[in-house]
Amino acid sequence: MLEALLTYKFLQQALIAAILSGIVCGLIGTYVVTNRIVFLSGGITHASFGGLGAAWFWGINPIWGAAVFSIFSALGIEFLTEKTKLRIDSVIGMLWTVGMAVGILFIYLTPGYTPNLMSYLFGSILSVEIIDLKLLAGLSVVTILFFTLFLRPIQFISFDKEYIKTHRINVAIFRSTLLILVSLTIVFSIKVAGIILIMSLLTIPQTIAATLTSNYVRILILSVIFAILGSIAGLALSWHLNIPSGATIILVLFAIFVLTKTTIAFRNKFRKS
Amino acid sequence: MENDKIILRLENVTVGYGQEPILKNIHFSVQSTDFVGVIGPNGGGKTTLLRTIVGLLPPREGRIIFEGTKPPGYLPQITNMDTTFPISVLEVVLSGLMAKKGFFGRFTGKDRQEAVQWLEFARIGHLRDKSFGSLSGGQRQRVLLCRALVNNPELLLLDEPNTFVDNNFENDLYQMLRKLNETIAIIMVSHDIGTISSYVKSIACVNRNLHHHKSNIITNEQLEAYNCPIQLITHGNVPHTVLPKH
Repeated sequence: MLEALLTYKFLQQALIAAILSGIVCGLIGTYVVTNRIVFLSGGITHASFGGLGAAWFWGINPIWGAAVFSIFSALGIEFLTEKTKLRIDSVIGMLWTVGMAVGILFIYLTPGYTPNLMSYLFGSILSVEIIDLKLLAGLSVVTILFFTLFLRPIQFISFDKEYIKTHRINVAIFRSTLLILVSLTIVFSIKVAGIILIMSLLTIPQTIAATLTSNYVRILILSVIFAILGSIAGLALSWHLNIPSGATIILVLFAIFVLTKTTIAFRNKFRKS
Repeated sequence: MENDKIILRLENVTVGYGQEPILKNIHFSVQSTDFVGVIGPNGGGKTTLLRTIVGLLPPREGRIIFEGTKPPGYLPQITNMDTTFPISVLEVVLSGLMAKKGFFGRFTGKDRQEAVQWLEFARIGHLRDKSFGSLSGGQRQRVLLCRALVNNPELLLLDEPNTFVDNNFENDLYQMLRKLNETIAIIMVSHDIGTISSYVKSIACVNRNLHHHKSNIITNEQLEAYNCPIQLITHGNVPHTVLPKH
């Protein structure tokens, strides 16, 4: 692969995309998992498909449509559950499927050549373009800055937002900002793992990290490392075996998870006896 | 007198939606040296009262005047806390300084020192680096008490602080509160009136309305008059009960 890496520009871009999405998904995924908003994030991801289809229909870069849809659905879910008596999981389920439905209709109505849907649904890291890398790089800088500046507020608000509210601190604005970062992370990483598979980058590395430590900062760092590791290893494996990259990345991450879990289980057993 | 200044005043406060508010036309004032025990039936609005005072529930009517310079220290019920969340005991206590630090604040060695001092005051200094989720219910409650105290509040609000605590610590806890009460006002919700009445200075009966009984001795007849149907039964071996015989 090394030789190919030097020859093919698209492979270099894929590698950079793996690293950058590993950074944002590792950090944002920790927020998602510790706040127990995995289902919410899944809803945002799928709702973004509506924007993708609409952008296609009007001939805009799909990523912009997806970004607008995901941000609005994220803030919509937050608003609807705070201001009305609707149940949060029902609202998520609704926006999840409505977004998908809108997307399907727009793609059906788009005249002429049917675009390559599969790469958006299941990811295709080899088709990453320069604009995707620029967006991911920008988001990485913003996310790293945000987590460095606001590490403690993020941790404390995630742990017990009610208590922080009693300190007259505007928790709602803070959480909305983080939800926008969640939305952008998902949309900008769609090329890497696809709408249907992207949740894995937000959950598996964090679950591996959490089995190794219960220190918040270490979980953040380990999540980033595992996300990058899994993406690169998955990319290499899919290149060699000529199989889909998105699915391979996830299976590699899952293999690391199983390996870590069993190693720890064995070690504990060994220690006891 | 400086000591008797009023720290908290609720004027005609109504909380809740629709025809049946949870709290209705509450008048309640607390002095800076008070130790109020809040009693009342389940669903009568005890927790709602505390949540209203700390600003989590905006009142539908009326005003809340809080004279403190820092937000009240608040110990909520811990029944639905996430025990898998990655946070250490020391970090939980430091989170009690958010009001002082704001979004951009950094914790200093002095902050950590103060947090550790409170942990030692609660006799759990040795647990400072443990993960919060790995503690027992009683230990968690002590950690949250430290979080409520680390900002040196002028008013402390406790919601059933004795729920998870074993008898051994219960005495400890009340001794701690008595000591704290030398400098700060305390409002404590408790289902166990028998135990608290020997520590509190006055009793507030909450059942949609609020009656502030300015003494720590209360009779069944008075409870009835306050429309506060709870039973004055002291269970177990409760020391120093000041309840009259019934």
